[in-house]
Amino acid sequence: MEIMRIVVTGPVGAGKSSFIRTISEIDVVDTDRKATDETAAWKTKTTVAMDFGRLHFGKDVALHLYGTPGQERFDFMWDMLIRKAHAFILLVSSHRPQDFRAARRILAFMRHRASIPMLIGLSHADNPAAWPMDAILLALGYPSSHHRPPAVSVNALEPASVVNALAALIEAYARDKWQNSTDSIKMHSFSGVM
Amino acid sequence: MKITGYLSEFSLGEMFRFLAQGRKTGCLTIKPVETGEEMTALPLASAYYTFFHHGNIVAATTSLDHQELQRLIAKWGWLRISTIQKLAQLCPPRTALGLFLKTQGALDGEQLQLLFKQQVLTPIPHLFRIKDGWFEFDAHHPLPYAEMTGLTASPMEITLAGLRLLRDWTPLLDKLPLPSSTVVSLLQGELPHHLSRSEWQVWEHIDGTLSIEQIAARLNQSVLDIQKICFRFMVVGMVEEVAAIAPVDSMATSPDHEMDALPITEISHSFLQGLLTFLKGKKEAA
Repeated sequence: MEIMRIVVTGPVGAGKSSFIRTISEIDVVDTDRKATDETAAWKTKTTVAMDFGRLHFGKDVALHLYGTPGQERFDFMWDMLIRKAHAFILLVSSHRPQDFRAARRILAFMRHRASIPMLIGLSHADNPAAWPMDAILLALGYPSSHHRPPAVSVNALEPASVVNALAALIEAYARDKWQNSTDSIKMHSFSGVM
Repeated sequence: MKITGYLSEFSLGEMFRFLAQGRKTGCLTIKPVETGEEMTALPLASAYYTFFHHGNIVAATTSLDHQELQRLIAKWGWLRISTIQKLAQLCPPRTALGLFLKTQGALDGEQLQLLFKQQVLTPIPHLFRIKDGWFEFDAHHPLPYAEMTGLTASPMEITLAGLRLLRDWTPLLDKLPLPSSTVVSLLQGELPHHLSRSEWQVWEHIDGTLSIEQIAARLNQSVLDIQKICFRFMVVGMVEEVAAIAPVDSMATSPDHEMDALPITEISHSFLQGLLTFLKGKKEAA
């Protein structure tokens, strides 16, 4: 069985659980329990262990999706997830600048533990208070457009949008893996990738 | 591009870093909704406008009437407003008025520096004392050449000055790096800023392994003081915070206990092609 493991991470409320639920072929396994900190004020339940979703697309081939704990504490689960992942998606709410700090913290945590391909998914981009994609990437610590990870707008509740984001991540993974190889992979065209 | 928010969500230091690192040009408007410490060095106003050019601060005003620099020059007694206005008519477009007055021999370099100090260097650090305020950055706002001396200031230096002046850190407490975090230098080469003695002591302990609480213990200082200094370093782009792994929570459970034992395998070419084909089909079906 060949399995690709993707971690879906981001600050509380960015849409991680929805993202996995939207694409998973199985009922998402979640180990939600009642939140006990300030998170409870605006979300009665948040993921403190992790969400797990699966996508079989052929014989003995599957994509596994793991959602990181929603609360901003990095425990053994985070460490285990990132060490076993092939790539990750960072989801950030475009209209919540107060989350950009937490997103930066997550990025630094990830970067210092694993060097794997990533994608930034910006949710709620249609909100009137949403910051433009370029501004969010800058706020996340990417001042140069030449050294940025790929980024897409994501509606975590829409299957086509989630598929688009996943495809962009897979393409980023393929580019990363074969960038120095003549054995390049033939890409399918998915729109919306920055 | 217009971006808006509240300083309680995205602090002024973070905003200045954003504008400096992005080399932004435009106008940052701040409308206080809650003032903090006594702000005698800041003129009382309903809005504060700070103008940026390629990431540097070029002017600051409390109105958009394009006459504050003239009033300031007249207040010092260097030129009458009528004289400035006559000369200003000769000022070429897109030229800072202060610089033009200097080329005309009406002002000298030292006077320009005094004007810039009173207009920008002294008041702007005091903006950091605003507890909460609404902000908007408008990248399409034209530069106010009539308010510009021609001098520029680094937003990072202003941030350092502002945060050093700050006494009430309450609005920033939830933005400070965590005591258990380590801070990692982002610098290559020389320090870009002059550090105070206490900042220098902390800087010498930033080696990517010591946590903030460990640095506090070594320096025999409070964790909060070290957090404040590390926050200053963070917002001027000298370091980044790397969170530590929290102790094991016995209540957390994994649906996939075997994951930890899984090997990290290479993903094959055929796998990726198959997955992309599958996703393309799924997208078309959606």
